[in-house]
Amino acid sequence: MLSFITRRLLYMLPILFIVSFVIFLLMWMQPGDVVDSMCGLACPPNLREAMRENFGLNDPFLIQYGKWAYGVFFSPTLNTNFPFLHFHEPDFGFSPTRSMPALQALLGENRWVWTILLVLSAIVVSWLIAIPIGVYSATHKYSLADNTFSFLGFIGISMPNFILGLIFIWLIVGVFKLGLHDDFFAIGGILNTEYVGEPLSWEVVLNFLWHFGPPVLILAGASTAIVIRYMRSNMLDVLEMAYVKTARAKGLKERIVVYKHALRNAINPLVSMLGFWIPVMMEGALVIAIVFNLPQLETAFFQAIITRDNMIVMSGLFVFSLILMFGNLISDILLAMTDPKIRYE
Amino acid sequence: MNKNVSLTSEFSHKPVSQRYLIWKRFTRHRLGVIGGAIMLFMITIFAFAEFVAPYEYLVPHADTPYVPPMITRLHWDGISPYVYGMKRIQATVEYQGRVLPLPGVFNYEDDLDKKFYLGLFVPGEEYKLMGSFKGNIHLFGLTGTENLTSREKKFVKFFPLGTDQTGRDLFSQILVGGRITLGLAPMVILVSFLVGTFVGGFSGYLGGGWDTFIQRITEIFMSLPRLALILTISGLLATLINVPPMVRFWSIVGLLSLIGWAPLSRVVRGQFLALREHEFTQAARALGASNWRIIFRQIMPNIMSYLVVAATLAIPDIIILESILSFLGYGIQNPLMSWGYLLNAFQGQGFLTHMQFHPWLLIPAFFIVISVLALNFLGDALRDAYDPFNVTSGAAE
Repeated sequence: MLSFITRRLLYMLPILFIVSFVIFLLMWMQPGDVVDSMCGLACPPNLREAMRENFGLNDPFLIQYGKWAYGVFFSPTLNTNFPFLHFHEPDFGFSPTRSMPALQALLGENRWVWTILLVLSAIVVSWLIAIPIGVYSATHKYSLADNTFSFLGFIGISMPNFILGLIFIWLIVGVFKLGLHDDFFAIGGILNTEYVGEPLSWEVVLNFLWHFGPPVLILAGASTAIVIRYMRSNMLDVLEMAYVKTARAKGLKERIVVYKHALRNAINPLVSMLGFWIPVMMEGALVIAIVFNLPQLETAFFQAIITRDNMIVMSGLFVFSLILMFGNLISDILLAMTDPKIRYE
Repeated sequence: MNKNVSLTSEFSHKPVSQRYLIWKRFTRHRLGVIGGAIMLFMITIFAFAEFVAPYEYLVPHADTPYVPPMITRLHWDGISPYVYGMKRIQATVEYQGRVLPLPGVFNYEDDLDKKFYLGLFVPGEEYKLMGSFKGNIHLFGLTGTENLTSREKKFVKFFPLGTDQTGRDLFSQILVGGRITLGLAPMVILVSFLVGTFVGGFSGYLGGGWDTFIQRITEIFMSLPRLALILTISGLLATLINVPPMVRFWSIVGLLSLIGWAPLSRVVRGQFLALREHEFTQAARALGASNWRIIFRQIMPNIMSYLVVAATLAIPDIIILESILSFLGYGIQNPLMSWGYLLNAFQGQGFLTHMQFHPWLLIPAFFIVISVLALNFLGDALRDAYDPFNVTSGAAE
């Protein structure tokens, strides 16, 4: 197993290199550059030239890429001290508009914590909701509840996250006018401004839940619908299996047949989907974070696209593809672990 | 005797074609038929958008910004509907004992002196249907407005779903936007399926070193984050101002196809790998058929039904992606119109004002959901119809 994981990790490296090249090429090909957006149209030519020199924009393409990639891949240096090859903190370049290192601008201020928290809690919530419903739908096939759930599932799949978010905010702001009468129910951000930096108390926790709960639920919404469909069909397949019939024939209670025999086997394919799920959720989180204005790395990324801060955009793309690749890796590992038919030597 | 007749008639049935069987299985899927009907209805309406729309979608009515949907203010005289003229009143708010105007918020009241009946096939603004047929007859509009002065006419309008900031008719915008939203997705599917089938097909058919090479490239494309990538690229494109609308349209098509072809080519490759070794392919090869002939006459017809279903199921995804892109302001833009771009009003400044006072600007979202829902139903039904073995119709793919 360890060799399998190592091999996959090593295999990721060349792909990461090529991805970093593609990302850099993309940024390099764009018309105009960061000096234009920082200095404006009325920029004196000598200042412009100085800025271009300062940001290294006058170098040939390959040198620019080399400098960037060197920093990204932990700036390896050779020296005489053991272990001879030394790695440093990854350096994604300097963000001119935020005047800080690009990676810090992207991930700093605990942005990465909120992103991970949002994505993981959305996955957990959607599974907690979806698996019981999927089991119920499969055991009560074509019942009224099953049909209702599958219809709701269709609606859930067809409802883009951002529309769900907009409708939610409309209900809160436009229909119930909650924020109008009570500042506690403000929309956007991770906490009300007056609670920021306050010691932990019930009020702060509740306010955090008010801000963070809806995005989690909305992000979980669409994936819940998909997980229900997978769970239902897996469960239906498993319930047809011979060992389930055997279990029934033994006279086991239906509860035990369903939850002890069938469910454990029906969940397996879903577990391997977990890794594949992370990039999907990241995509949803990108939109949700923008709609709800959450302080996440997605919002920093989008802000960088607006302000045309290439360094942050590049590091954002790199981080996103890293997450995607790790998701695929996790998915492969979980599949290898749960499915004895797959050999990983 | 009677029995005999029925027996022979049973045996004298015409042989049914595969197509007929598929159609029969399709019609059994009730939601799928409904979805198909909705799509057909929408496409028909959007094709004749200029005729159905009461106003030119880009023309601002500067005197009537933010009119609430007027279908709620229809009055009925027997079976003939009528509306009153509008009176615009600036909304105010009391703040610290002073009455202040609320910028951008208006109350519209009925001007009871002016009463206008709604008629069908009413002459109105000139338009060019599908870019070629000139006309000025609209599906519906107000009648009896001929004798009004141009000043009075400004407040005698019928905006079924209200207007936006500059007084552009939301209903007309939705109709034209629907044409682009629903027209763009099939284009994307077409391009990405052509590329995906081509790449995947050759990869699977040729095998060996080519296969490995092509698969590595596909892998790189699949290691790039979809949404972030297209956002970045269109962020770069957004800096090019004065781009002709058609160029922007096709650049969005290209962008969305860029991320669509890779997963598809994977699946097509798998199908090719499986079918390459099938008996009928080997027979064709033994008969001396060329590679092209085997690909297009033997293998392609076998995966065609799969492609059709996959395409129908992929369209909703593309619609959602395009809406997200346009919603964030990096997709379709003025003078083109799409549902996502209409929702762009909820981006940035004025977000909470719109939410509080102009909720009808959210109506395009309803159309997005309905069309995606209909297409999902349609795709589901098509999958069941094309694949007689897939009776559970459970998980996608």
